[in-house]
Amino acid sequence: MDIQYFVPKQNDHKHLFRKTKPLLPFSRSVVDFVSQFSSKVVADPGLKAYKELIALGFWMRKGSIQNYQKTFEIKNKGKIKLARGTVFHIAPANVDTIFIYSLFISLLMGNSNIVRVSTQAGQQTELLIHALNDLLDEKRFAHLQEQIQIVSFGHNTEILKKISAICDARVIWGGDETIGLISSTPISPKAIDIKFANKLSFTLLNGKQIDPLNDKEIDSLAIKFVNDSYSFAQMACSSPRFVIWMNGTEAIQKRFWDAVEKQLDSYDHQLTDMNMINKIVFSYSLAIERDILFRSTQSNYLMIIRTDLQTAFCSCSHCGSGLFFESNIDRLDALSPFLNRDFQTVSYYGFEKNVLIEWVANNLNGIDRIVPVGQALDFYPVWDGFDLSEMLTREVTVL
Amino acid sequence: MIQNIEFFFNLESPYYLAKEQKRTALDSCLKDLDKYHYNKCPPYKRIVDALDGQSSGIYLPVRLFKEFELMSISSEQILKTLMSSGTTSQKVSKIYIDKITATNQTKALVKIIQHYMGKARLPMLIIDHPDVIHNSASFSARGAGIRGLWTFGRNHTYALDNEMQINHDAIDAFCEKFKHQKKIVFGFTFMVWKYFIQSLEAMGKGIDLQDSILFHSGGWKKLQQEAVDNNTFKSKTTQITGIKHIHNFYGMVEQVGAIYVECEKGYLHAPAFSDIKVVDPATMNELPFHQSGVIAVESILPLSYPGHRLLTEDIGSIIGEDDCKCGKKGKYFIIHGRLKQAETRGCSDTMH
Repeated sequence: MDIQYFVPKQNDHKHLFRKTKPLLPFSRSVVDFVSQFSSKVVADPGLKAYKELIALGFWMRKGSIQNYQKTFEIKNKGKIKLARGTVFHIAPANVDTIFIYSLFISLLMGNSNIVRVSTQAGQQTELLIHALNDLLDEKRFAHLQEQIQIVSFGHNTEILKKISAICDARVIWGGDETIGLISSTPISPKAIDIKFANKLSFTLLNGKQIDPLNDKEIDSLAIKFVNDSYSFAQMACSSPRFVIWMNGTEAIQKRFWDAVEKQLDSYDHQLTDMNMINKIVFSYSLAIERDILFRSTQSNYLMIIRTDLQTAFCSCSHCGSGLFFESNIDRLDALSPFLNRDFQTVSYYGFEKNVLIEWVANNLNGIDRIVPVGQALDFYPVWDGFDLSEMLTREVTVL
Repeated sequence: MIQNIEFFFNLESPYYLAKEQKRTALDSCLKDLDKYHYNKCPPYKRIVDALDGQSSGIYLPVRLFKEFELMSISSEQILKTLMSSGTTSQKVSKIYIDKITATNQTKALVKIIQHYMGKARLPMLIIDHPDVIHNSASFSARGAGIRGLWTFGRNHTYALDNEMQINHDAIDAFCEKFKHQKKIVFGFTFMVWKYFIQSLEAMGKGIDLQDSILFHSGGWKKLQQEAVDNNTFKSKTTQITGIKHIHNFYGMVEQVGAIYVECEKGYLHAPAFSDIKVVDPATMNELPFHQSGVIAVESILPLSYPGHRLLTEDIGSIIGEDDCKCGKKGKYFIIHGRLKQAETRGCSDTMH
């Protein structure tokens, strides 16, 4: 069978297709493993260059795991929560770090895990797999080799079928096509599917609050925006694809974009000539079909297309790589008619939290999370509206 | 209208214009073309308007001709539609040619080719099969290329039959009849290599075309996969056929006519009618000579469609200008290949 085994290094399909016994939620060895992994990633000088990996390491450091455990225990006080069993994760190709989040939350809940990473997985995936194997080689964690299997296989429905048949939950990260394909492969009638589909995100800026910022403050806002947007070449579901301004005057907007462009000069975005050409093709095509206006920038690493809300919301599944639509609104409610379940993250600056809460709580269609600019890509165990700690455990009632 | 166009056609040779003179003449012509297409081609106007004066003279990405019908004429004026299929997508570029553009393309091509082979029509051996040009309603890139060079030949003979096998009888008769005479041989680079040179070599059969001049074009992509470079191509071709004058040329269906022919020193040369820039697509700034970048091309010929400034997906380097050892003026350069399509890393491709 055409399977590549990554974790553990020595593996075979007999082991892969077999159920292993789960652990209890937050068992000591798993918590230790996750926080050890975090220290390892953060301390590794070879990984320093990868902002996304450092963010990952920070997210699962000992303190935050303990907080997560506390929250879990408070929420489930008096309840009996156990692992679901074996969880099959299908990782996306666009964001290398997602599979670790998916895997570790599940692991912390006590589950045994089989992860299928993309055959197109990038360098960060390789580095993470390498780090996992290093840690699993240590004697104290050797028993966890039963809980973590990472493999890769192409369009092989046989393998997909076999793993799907033995899992108790299947976590699918992917676009509509992938989710359709995988969902059509049956899982056990007692198992559940958790689907993380392709989503789109945007940024909400309040010009009135940006106007008084001094140069240092606006630079700090700009670098946060650049981190949110240019990691993963703007192709993560949470990467902002357009910017909506409230109280945005031309002077404020220009100041913001100039600051963004200044930050980009020293940002390692790894965009290629082909990315630039793809952006030119996309934006010229859009100019033919819709009423748009290009905002002038120093280079195509930052392309800004000023347009109406209709165009911004309808055409935003573009090729990323530093392409933004820009529109103005005079009140938040103006956005509501355009929102649907395709939209995931709103990253904002200059809004009161309670104003945003009020806006969403009024039965808003769409939007899964609203976070300050700079935190768009931070993973949170409640994702796309699902609480993973809930989904990946089962509750036993005793009366 | 376009002020300077006749100036170019009246030149004695397309390779004698020094850079300052060329730049002035070409720029004034290209600026006229910017205005001309702005007024005649509504989609082009929409792009220019969206850019709102931010750049003077925009370069359309060649891929845009696959997505839209871009023309600066009414549909009744279309004389022929040139098509090319890209290598990365199923979509086809459609280039609409009217009578005057067709005439200008021919005029330019005549000037360029005559520089290499003189004014007389020569017996012509075509390294392809006869059916390749029979589809006249729409020309494939190969068909269009053959038709383009057709006028420079006489006694046209196809070297291959419709099964792509070497037509020995035809070739032998051709070589015998025009022995010791100058001849022209033309084919697409890949066709020449795969179905002509390699077939002849496999048969252990050499032929005598030593008085011929070979033009070939169409790109190296397929040959690169077989690790065949220009030097290998040339030495093997000379060995098997005796042809010593071998000229590759760079051109594209989006800018027919003003082709870039390889000189005796192995460099591609910009003729007076067109020019080449190596740019950084992030800024569209020109890169210094010898530095590799994306090729942008300019041509004064496209009137029926807004193809006078194009951004290609080819990469190359300019070696110099006006000082090639072959003696020709103008920029000379090499092509390194095609840009790789960026890996599409959307959420939608998990199952890859």
